Amino acid sequence: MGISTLQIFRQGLNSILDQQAGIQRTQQQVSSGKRILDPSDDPAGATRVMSLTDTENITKQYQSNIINLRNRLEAEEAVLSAGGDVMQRINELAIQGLNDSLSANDRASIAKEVRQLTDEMVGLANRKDGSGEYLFAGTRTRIKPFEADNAGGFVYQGDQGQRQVRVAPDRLIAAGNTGFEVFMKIPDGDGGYNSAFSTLYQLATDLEADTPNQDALGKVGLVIDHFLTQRSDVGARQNALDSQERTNDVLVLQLRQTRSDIEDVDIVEAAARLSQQTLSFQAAQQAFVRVQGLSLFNFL
Amino acid sequence: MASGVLGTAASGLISIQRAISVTGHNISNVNTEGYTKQRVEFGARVPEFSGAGYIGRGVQVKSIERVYDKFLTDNLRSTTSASTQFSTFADYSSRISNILGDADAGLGAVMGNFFNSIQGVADDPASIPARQTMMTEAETMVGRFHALDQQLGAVKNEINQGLDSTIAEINSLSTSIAESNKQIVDARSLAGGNEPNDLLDARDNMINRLAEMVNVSTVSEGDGAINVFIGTGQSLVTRYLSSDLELKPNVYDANKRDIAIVTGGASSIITSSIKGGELGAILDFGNQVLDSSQNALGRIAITLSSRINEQQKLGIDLNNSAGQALFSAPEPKVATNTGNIGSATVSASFDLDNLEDLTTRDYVLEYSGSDWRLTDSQSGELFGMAGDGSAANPFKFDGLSVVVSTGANDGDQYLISPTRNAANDISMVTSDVQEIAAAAPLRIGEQTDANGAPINTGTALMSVQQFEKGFGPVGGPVQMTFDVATNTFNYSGALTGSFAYDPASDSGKDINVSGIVFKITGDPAAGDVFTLAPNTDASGDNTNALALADLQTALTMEGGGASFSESYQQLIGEVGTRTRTAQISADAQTSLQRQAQATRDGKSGVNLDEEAANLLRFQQAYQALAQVVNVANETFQTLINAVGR
Repeated sequence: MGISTLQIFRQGLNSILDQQAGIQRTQQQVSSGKRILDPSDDPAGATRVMSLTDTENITKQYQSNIINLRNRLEAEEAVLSAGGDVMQRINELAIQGLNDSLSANDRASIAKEVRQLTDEMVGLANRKDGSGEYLFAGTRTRIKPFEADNAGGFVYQGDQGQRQVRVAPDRLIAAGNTGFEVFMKIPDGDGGYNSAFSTLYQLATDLEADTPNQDALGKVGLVIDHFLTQRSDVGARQNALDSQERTNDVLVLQLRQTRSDIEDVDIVEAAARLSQQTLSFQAAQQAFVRVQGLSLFNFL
Repeated sequence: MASGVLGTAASGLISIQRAISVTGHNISNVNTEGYTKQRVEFGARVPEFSGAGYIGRGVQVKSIERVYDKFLTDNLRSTTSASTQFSTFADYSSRISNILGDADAGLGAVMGNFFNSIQGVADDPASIPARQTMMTEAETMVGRFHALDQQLGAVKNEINQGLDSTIAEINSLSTSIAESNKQIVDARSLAGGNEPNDLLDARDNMINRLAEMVNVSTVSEGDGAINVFIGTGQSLVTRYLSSDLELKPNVYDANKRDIAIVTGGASSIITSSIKGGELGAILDFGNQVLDSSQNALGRIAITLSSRINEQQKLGIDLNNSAGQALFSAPEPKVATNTGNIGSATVSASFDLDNLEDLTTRDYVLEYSGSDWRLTDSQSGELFGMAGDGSAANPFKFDGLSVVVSTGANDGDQYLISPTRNAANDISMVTSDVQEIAAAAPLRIGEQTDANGAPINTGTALMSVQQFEKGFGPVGGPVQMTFDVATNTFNYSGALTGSFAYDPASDSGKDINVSGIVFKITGDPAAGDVFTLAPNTDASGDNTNALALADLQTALTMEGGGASFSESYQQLIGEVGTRTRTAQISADAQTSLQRQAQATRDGKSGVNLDEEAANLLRFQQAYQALAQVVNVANETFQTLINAVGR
């Protein structure tokens, strides 16, 4: 087959341009660190990367949900802990009130402290979170959950709704317990329920009437037990959160690793390829110059 | 005698001069694209009869031929068409995969952010900043739909301009080829059948250029004219006559253009028969990638906005009102064929109960005189429809609901593009953060006394799970009382009825009352009462926000097989694959085209060394002939001198 002079030129030029395009591509890969520069480079890989990125972002959102939820649970736990302390003091006062050597006046002053501590307890039950939402109002977070009634007791105005928070694709964890559950629905030991406030109200009233009784003390004990149960309930959820958080962390790491395996360029391989391409490029340039210099006309 | 010798030598000198001139012409055109090298054909002149027999009278130039091979030229043309077609397609298509596939500028990230922001609201439903973030992310997402749609629209404008300029160039080339036909035929007859080589090259070049625009085939005539055909045999050039291509408004959409060929004043649409070259690539790209990408993007916009809107309506917002749509709901686009004779109107809407069946197709609905037929606008595939097209019983297919009025004429056609405009039409209808319906419409709880203290004595608990579309209605409280003897809850109030609950086997199972799904756990005591009531002031309730957030991974698309983002990934996978396939084909065709070019050039191109060698050859012959003249001259002088003494 013959060959034309224009064709020699064209071939030389094409091979230089082809080499140049190859170098530019490798250089883009090296500088971006990515093997896939456009979905068309590897359509299956590119969509897989998008899906992995999606999952990673969702999982990060779960992690952020976990942090928010943990804050709420910690706030609740702090209230339950403080409530436990208050109840311990009330327990002491109830025992003290039973002491036969006390006078009615003594009991009246103990009752006074019980009432103060009851107010403190109400304050705890009406605690707000950092953004001004009531912690123990169920879902009615803008309505003060415990309001004094005219009879000296307290009315619960929240509801029984408990918020669930998603911490994994198929896992919801309950946020704070409701005021109904924590303060209103305390087992009375006889198959019924008492509210913490009515127990305290009864205790103070009995003391004021100078009629302390074992029954009231027993109910105080039940409130203490109930608070402990609630705390351990919250604690169990905190543990579940911690463990889910670790699982999510591991998942994020795996997702990143997989994504990197698919989309990242093997730098060592790319660097070797780049130097190989540079070499071929130079060879093509030199060959071009050499071949272009060859002409019979040089000898005429 | 001497005059005979001189004549013979002179014939050689003249022929060789011609040959050197042709060599010079070849060398001059070494860089001329499409130039075919020329060769001088020498032939001995008719001999002279003498007593001794015939004596040669030298040489003459018989002809100047192109070193030409029709097969190689045709091959170069067809590979050029294919290579231009695939590389043009790949160029355009990679623009789309770039636009859609960009990690930051694509849809994937903003859709993810939107759903993450809903999770933020679910985390803290009363938080105004969290709600604000969700609104902002929704606006960003809507903005992204618009931006992507506009970028696709920009590419559409570009290919329309590409069509304009390509058609203009094809018309100018076909005119020139027709003129060139005349020149060549005239020149041939003038030169007694000798080929006007350079004119032939020029015409070949024009046809080659035409092959870059569109697939061509040629038929040569005996007198040197050539006929050019495009598409499936539409005649573009017939001898001295050329037909013009023109762009006509599409019968459905004036903004879309069809290609027509004008022959003898009559114009006929040939869009679907155009193949190959830039023109074929532009048309293929428009149909296969651009339109379907826009449809796929619109389909996500429709499905996402409808699903969010529907879920919104199943919740209540911070104002204690039933949730309202967040997004406007785009409607399917119906276009009437401008050639329709009848007066029927066709209106389409989305069939919200079957929205996951939406496709990225465009449909043609045609009246056949007695009934309506539905076909794919691209492939012509025939589809079935449920219903009779009346308002009471509309046609239903692929997530669409279509009502047709009477008055259609036989052959009337309507184009339904369900999702084409949706990515552009989607918008927010509210920016009021209060209107995010994060809470459940109903609350459930055990009955309490006036102080909110429990009355029930059992351990049973109830919690709301979800609300089905069209649940209830529940205008006031519903009391559910447990009958321990029959293990049944009897309910009364806004709803009345009963359902079974056996604590031993039903604890934790979902109970569905009029579309209200709730769960009971534990042991209710005899006479325990639970109350279901309209929810108010539930600023901390995230039941519906969770349901909204769950839409992110719900399989709401592709017939219930893909989530929003999976559907988007499929789109990118499809465009990416089409681009990749076109790139691979373009590479292959380019390499074939280069080979065809090399083969053609090897045969027909100028090689300077060859020409230099020819120059030497001719130079030597010329010197030898000069020597013949010299010898003849000296011989003659000798005779003159002898006579003259």
